[in-house]
Amino acid sequence: MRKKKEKEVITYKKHHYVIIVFLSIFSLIMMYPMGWTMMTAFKTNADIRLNRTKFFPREWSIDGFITAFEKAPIEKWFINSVFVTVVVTVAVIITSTLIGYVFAKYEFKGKKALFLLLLATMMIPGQVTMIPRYLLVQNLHLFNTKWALVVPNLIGVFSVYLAKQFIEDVPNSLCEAAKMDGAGPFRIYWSVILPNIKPAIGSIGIFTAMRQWNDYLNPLLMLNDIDRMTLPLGLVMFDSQRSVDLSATMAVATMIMLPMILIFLMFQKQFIKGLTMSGIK
Amino acid sequence: MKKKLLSILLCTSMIASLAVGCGSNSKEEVSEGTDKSEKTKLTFWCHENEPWIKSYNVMAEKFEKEHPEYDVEVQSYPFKVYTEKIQTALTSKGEECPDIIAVWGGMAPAYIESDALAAVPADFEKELREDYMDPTLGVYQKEGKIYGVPMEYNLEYGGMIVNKKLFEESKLEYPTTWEELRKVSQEVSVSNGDVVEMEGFEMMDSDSLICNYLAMILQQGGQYIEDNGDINFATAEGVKALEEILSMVDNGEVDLENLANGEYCFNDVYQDKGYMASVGTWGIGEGETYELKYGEDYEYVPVPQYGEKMAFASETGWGLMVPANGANVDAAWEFIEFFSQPENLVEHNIACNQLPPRKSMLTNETYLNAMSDIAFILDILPDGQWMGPYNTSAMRQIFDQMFLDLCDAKDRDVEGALKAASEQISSECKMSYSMD
Amino acid sequence: MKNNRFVALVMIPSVLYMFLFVVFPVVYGLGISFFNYNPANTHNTFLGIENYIRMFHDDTFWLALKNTIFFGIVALVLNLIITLFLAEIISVIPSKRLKTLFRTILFIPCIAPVVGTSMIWKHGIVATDGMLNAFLKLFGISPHNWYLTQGPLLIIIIVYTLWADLGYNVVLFSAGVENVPKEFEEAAAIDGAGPLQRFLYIKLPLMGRTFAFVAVMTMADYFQMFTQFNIFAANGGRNNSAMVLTNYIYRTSFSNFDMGYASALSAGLFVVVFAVAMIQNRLMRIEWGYE
Repeated sequence: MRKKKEKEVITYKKHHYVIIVFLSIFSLIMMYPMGWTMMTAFKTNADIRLNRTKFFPREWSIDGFITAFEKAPIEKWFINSVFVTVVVTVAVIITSTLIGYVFAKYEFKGKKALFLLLLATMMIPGQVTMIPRYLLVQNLHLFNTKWALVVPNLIGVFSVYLAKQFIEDVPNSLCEAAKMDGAGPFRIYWSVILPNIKPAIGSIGIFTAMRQWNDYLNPLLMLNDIDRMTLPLGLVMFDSQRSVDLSATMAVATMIMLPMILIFLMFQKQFIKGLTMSGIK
Repeated sequence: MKKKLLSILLCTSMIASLAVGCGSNSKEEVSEGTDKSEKTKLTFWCHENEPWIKSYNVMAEKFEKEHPEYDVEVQSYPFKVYTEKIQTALTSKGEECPDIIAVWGGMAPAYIESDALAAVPADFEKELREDYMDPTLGVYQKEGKIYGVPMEYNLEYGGMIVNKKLFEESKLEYPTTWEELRKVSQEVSVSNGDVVEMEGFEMMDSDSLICNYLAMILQQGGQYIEDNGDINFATAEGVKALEEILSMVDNGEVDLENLANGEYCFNDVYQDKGYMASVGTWGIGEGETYELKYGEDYEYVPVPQYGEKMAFASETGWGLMVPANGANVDAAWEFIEFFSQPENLVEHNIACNQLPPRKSMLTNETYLNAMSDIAFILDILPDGQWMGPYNTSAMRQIFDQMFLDLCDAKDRDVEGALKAASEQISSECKMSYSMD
Repeated sequence: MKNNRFVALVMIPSVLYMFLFVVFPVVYGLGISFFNYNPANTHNTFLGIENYIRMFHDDTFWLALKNTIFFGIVALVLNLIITLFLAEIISVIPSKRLKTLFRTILFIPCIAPVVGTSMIWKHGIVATDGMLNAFLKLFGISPHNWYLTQGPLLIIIIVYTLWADLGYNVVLFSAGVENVPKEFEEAAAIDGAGPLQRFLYIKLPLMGRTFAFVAVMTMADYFQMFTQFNIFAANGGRNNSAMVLTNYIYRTSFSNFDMGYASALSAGLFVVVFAVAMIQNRLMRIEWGYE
C-alpha cells in the first residue's frame, strides 16, 4: 500500500462547527462515568459518603488501591485473565483460519451441509447450552480450572465464517500457483492464505480477545476458587463483599478497565480498521 | 441430504445424552487421600465476614496443632453468591468439592433435600440431640438423621445497633418503650422523596423485617403458624403488626433501599445515616469494618418490646455440613466435632458475637464474662419458639415482595395481601422432607 | 482444490469438537428438560413434558419473555438509530483527525468490561445518592430509589446498554457511511433532497450489507444479554420487572438448582432466538445490495 501524506484540505462550514460542538458535549457525557470512577478511586470513603457525585477528590488518597491490593488477589486475577484470553485468541485464530480455508478452497462431500450446520450453531445462544456445558465441564474434570474457560471455546463459529469470507477473496490462482510449485496444503495455508488475510486475522483476534477478556457468565459458572477467577468475576466478588468500601471497589474497577483501554488507545488504528473489516464482509 | 445428516446427528446425540443423563449418577468411588505421606488438606468454606473468618482460621490452627496430619484451608465467598457456589460445589467430586461448608439455616433445606450431604455420625448425633437447643437443630433434621451441626443459636430479634454519637448530638436517650421508640424515630428521621436521608428505627432488611414482624404477632398473644403447620399471617394480630410497620415507611422514618438491594440496615447506622437498626448480635462485629469502636461510636441495646409479653420466633442459624462427595468425609467430621466442643465453640461464639447453641453453654463463665453487653439477649432466650419447618430464605422473598407491594399500593388491603402471602408460603416454602 | 486427506485432517477433529461442545449440549439440555434434574441427587425422576407445562403456567417465564423481547427490540432500534446518526455526522466532519478522535472516544466504553461499567453505573449513577438523582434534582424532581421501580429500572438498563455499546456500531457503520460514493449524494442534493432524505433513501440502501450485518449481530447479542441484568437486577428487580430469560435460566439452574426446569426454559429461549433470527432473515432479504 502506498502512503500518501497529503495535506488535508479543510474548509469548515457552519454546520461543521455545530456537529463538532455537539459531538464534544456528547463525548464528554460518554466519558464522564469513566473519569468519575478513576477519581472516586482516589477519594476517601468519608468523602464519598459526603457527596458521591462530586468529580474531584477533596483530598487525594490511595487507600482504595491499598485495600484493593490487600484484600483481593488482583495480580492473580489479572494473570488468569491474560492467560485465558491469549490462549483462546491464538487458538481461535488458528482454528478459524484453518477451517475457513478448507471451506473456502477445498471441495469435499457434504461441504454444503456441514457449512449450513455450522451456521445453524451460530444461532444457538450460549445461555441455552449453559447448563449442559456446565455439566460437561464437571464431567471432564475441568471445573474450577482455567481450562474450563479454554477448552470449550477453541472454535468460534463466527470467526470461522468471517475467515471463510475473507479467504474466498484470495485469488485461486495464487493457491494453484503455489500448488504447482509443490507446496502442500499447510504450506499454502501458511505462505499464501495467512499473509493475504491479515486484516481478517486482526478482526478475529480483536473480537475473540474482547469477548474472552470481558466474559463474565462462564467464569461465574465454572470457577469456584477466588484465586482462580478472572478479572470481571473477581470484580463482582470484590464488590459484593465490600460494597460499602466504594473507594476500593472503584480502584479495582479502574484497574480492570485501564489495561484494555490503554491497549486500545495504543493500537487504536488497527483496532478500528480490523473491526470495520468485519462489518463490510 | 442436509436434513438426513442433521437428523442423524441429532439422533445420535440424543441417545448419547440420555445415556449420560441417566447413567452418570452412579456415584464414583472416591479414594481416601489418607495414604499419602503429605498432610490431608481439608477445605473449609464460609461466607465473607471478617471476624468470622478470623475465628475460623483460629479454630483451624488449633485443630492442626492437635492433629498435625491435617491442613485446614479456609475459603470465603461473598454472601450474595454463596448459595450458588455451594450448589455447584455439591455437584462436583473429590478435590473440587469442599470438605466442610458453613451454611445458613435459612438456605440449608435446599441442600439437605438433595442427597449431597453426609449425615452426622451416630455418636455425635446423640450428643447433638441431648445438648443442643431445639431451634438450632430445626431444619438440619431429615428422616431421623441430622445433616448439619449448629454453631450458634440464631436470633435476629431483640437487639439493635444504636449510633451513640448521633444520640449524644441530638441529646436523646435510647428508647426503652415501644412508644418512645416510635417517637424518637419520627423526630430524628429526615426524608426526601423516596429516599430517607436520616433513618430513625430501621428493620427494613430481609433479615430483620420478618423476625420483627413475627415477634410483634407473638407478643400480642397471636400466632402465625396453624396446627396443620400452615402459615397464616392474616389474623387480627398479624394485620395490626404489619400496619404498625407500614406506618414507619409512610411516616418517612425509614426507606426501603436495603430491602430492595439486599443490604443490611445496620450499615446505615455505622455510616451515620441512621439512629437505630434491628439486627442479631452478629451485627456488633461489623462495626470493625468501619473502624468504629463499641461503646464509643455505637452500642447494642434491647429493641423495646412491642406487646405485653416477651415472645419471638427464631430460625435455625449457621451450622456446618459435610458434602458426601468430599474426599475426606471422616476427617471433616473429626474437625467439626473438635469445633463443637464447648471450650472451642465458646471462643468462636465470643469472637463472632453469636449466641451459643448448646444448653450446657448457657451458664458458661467464659462466655458470660466476655459477652456482658448482650446478657439481655440471653435472658429472653427461653421465650423463643422455632420459626417452623420452612425454607426461611424462600419465605423471606415472598414476604418482602408482598411488603414492598403494600408500601406502594394506593388502596391497601393488608389482610388480603397477608392472606395471599401466607398461602403462597405454605404451599411453596415448606421443607420437602420430614424431620423424623 | 481437492485434497481429501487434508480436509479430513482439519474437518474431522473440528466436527467432533463442535459436536461435543455445541451440538451435544443442545441435545443433552433437551434431554434434561424432561427430568426433575439436580446433579446433586442420586435419582432424578423422569417428568415427561411436565416442565414444559409448568413453563406455560409460569407467570415469571412470560414476564421474562416479554422483558427480553422488549429489551431486545427497544435497545436494538435505539442503538441503530443513534449509531447511524453518529456515524453519519462524524463522517461529515472534514478533519480526519477529529473523526478518529470522536470514534475512539465513543469506543472506549465498549472496550471496558461490561462488568466494570455496570458496576460504575450501579454505584455512581443509579444509586440513590448517585448522578441520576443529582441530575433530576436540577429539575426539582425528588430522588427515587431506582431499584424499587418497576418500569424505569429496565429503561435504565437499556440506557446503560446503549451507552456501553454505541461505539461499536458507530465504528462498523462509519465504513459503510464513508464508502458511499459522493456523487450519489451530490446528485440527490441537486434534486432538492434534504439531509435526512438523502440519508434514508440513498445512503442507507447503499450500505445494506453492513446494516444487515450490524443489525443481526446486535440483535443476537441483545437477546442474550446477561451481565448487566445480573448486576443491576440479580433477582430480577422489583416483581421481576427487569427479569430476562437469560437471568431467569441462570437463577433457576444455579440458585435453585432446578436444572430440569431451567433446561425447559432454555428450550423456550432457543425458540425465541430462532424465531427472531427467522423473521430477521426475511426482513434482510430485501434486496439492498449494490455490488
